[in-house]
Amino acid sequence: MNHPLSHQEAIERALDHAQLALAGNLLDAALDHVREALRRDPGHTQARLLEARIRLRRHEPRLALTALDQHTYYEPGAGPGPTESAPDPHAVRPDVDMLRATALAAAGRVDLATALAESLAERFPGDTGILRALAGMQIHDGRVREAAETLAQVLELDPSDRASARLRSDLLTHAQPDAALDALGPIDDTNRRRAARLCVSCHRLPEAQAHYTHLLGELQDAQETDADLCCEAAEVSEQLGENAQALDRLHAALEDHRQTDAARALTLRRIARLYLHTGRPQQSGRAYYGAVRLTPDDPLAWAGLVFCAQQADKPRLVSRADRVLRRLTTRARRRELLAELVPHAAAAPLAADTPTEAAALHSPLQRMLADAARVMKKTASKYPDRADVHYHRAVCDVARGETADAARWVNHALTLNPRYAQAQTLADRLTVAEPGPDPEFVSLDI
Amino acid sequence: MNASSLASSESQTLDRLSHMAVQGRLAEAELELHAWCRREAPPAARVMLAALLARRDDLVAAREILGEPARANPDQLDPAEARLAVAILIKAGLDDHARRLAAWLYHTHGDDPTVAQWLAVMDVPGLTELPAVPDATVERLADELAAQPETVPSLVYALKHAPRTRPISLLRAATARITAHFEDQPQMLPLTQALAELAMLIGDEDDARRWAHRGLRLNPYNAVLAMLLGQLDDDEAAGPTAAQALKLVAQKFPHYPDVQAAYRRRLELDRQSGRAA
Repeated sequence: MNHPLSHQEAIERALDHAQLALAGNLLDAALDHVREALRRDPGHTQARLLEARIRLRRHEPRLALTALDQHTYYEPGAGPGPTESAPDPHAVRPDVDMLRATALAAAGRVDLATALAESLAERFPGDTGILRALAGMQIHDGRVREAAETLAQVLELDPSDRASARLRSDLLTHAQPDAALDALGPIDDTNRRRAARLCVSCHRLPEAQAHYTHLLGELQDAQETDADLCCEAAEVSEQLGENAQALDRLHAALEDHRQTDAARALTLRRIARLYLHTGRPQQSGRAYYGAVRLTPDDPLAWAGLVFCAQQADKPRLVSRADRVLRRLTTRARRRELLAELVPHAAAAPLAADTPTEAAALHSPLQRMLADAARVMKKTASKYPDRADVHYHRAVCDVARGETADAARWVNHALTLNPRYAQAQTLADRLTVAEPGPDPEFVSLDI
Repeated sequence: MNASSLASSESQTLDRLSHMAVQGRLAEAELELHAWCRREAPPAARVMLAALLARRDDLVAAREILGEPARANPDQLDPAEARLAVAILIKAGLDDHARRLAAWLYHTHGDDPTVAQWLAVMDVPGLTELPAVPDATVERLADELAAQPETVPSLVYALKHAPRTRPISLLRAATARITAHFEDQPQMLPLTQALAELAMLIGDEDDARRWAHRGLRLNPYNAVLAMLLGQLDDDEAAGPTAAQALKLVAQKFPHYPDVQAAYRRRLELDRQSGRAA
């Protein structure tokens, strides 16, 4: 037998339906049920609260705030009496204020929301939900230091909250890397890489090195590659002066075939620079060559190739690579790129000194005389009957210490022109008794 | 490093620090270099420290460390150190300082092909303003020619058959430098003749005329110089006219067909230019 529902029963049924619909994320239906309850009692506290929750879910924070404004704030039956002018603060429900704070934040009034959440956190310091929400708002408001403090309170209450620990660690990374590392808690496989990075930030390089070694070991056991991890680890090795290990790690990074060409070229450039540090320009040049093949438009890689080719005394390669470099960049930029590489190769000055000293021994006069002798040889074959050619050839040979040849040429000059005074003087100097036919020219005489 | 300018203990310390840097012990090397530079460190140590600082982009500190030795007192740097200093100055944006140091490097060590090539590849500031021949090479060739001045005419002879700008400039500069040693000696005439011919080869007619007149003052019957003068415009302030010089030689050597022909050509040239005027 159906009995008509009482007024109160009808409201409660509508609210029950609304709760269920909200739980099922059927927001329109939930709103309809709440409206039904509010039609019967526009001042119904629970209905207004529920409406605010639904509005928030529907991304209607302003309507949620309107719903909350119409709410009495007090527990049913605990509302202010007609004679009371102010509510009893102890009777305020934290969930309602939290809801208001959430709605304010969603409506873009993060400052008000944070202030409200802070007052709630003061009144309910043991409520991790309020503290977490407050930390979220503080982060959103850019108040990183306060957010880290709030998360510290959360972790005091709930040390098992790894998410809050990670978040706090992240917040402290830049300003207080040491604190960030401490905030990370016990290091395990889930946070070892983060710990390694934080160790680097804190300049605790040996610790970082240990973490990276562990991580790379695991990677190796799993027969996997991770270029980013290898590169990070190489950076630490390099900072620790372990150049050989850094090179191994960078070469391992190249085995990760998921890397883009640009990333591989970057790794090759790092390898090249490390080789320069260790005084090996040829290997460096090879790495730069690998980089230019992957990224043909990268002026950094071409500058490296030009520089290494110059260091390794390969002028043709310098010229070819330089043509590309000049096409890719401006004159000033090219100069800067090359200048930047010089300090990296400065560790091997002694190797660079060797050709310098050898070249310093080379005489400019001897170079000119050798050139002149070559020219004179050609000229002599072109004008075999000119005595002056043979005479000057003889002078050059004397100056080069080739007196036997000189005697031969000066004799020949005198054969062609016996009145050649300068040739005669030279011949006398060379103690040539009689100018006779030169074997080389016998065939000509015939 | 300049072995002569460095005490052996300093040289050993530099080698050790360089080795340390190659092995990656950068912080250690840097600390030691800093301590050394606070006392009386040689410029090479300052350059090494500046290089380590520049590597990690601390250019302000690198400039500060490098400061004086590289710019004010480069003579204490060897070519490798000077190259490094030039690069750091470029990287630090101090192009004027880099230009000065690069010019010093070129003039002092430019006869070393590796230095000359490095300067060209780096395209150092002011590269295009540098002379074709570095001072160091000119100086060195001048020293060598002073000991063997008889080679100069033969070198000129070769260059006349295969003219190349750089060797001509080099020989010209070095020969001009040694003339002071042979002012009143018989070698002076061939040297002035060589200078006149080299100037002619490179197209510097004023200088060719100057040296030709100077040579003819030493020997007015020098046929080569008179014929060379015959190819140039007259400058009465510098000496007698070409026609006068050629006439003198032609009268002295009536059987020299080249001189006679040159004299006739010059007279004809003067007659035509007089008619044109």
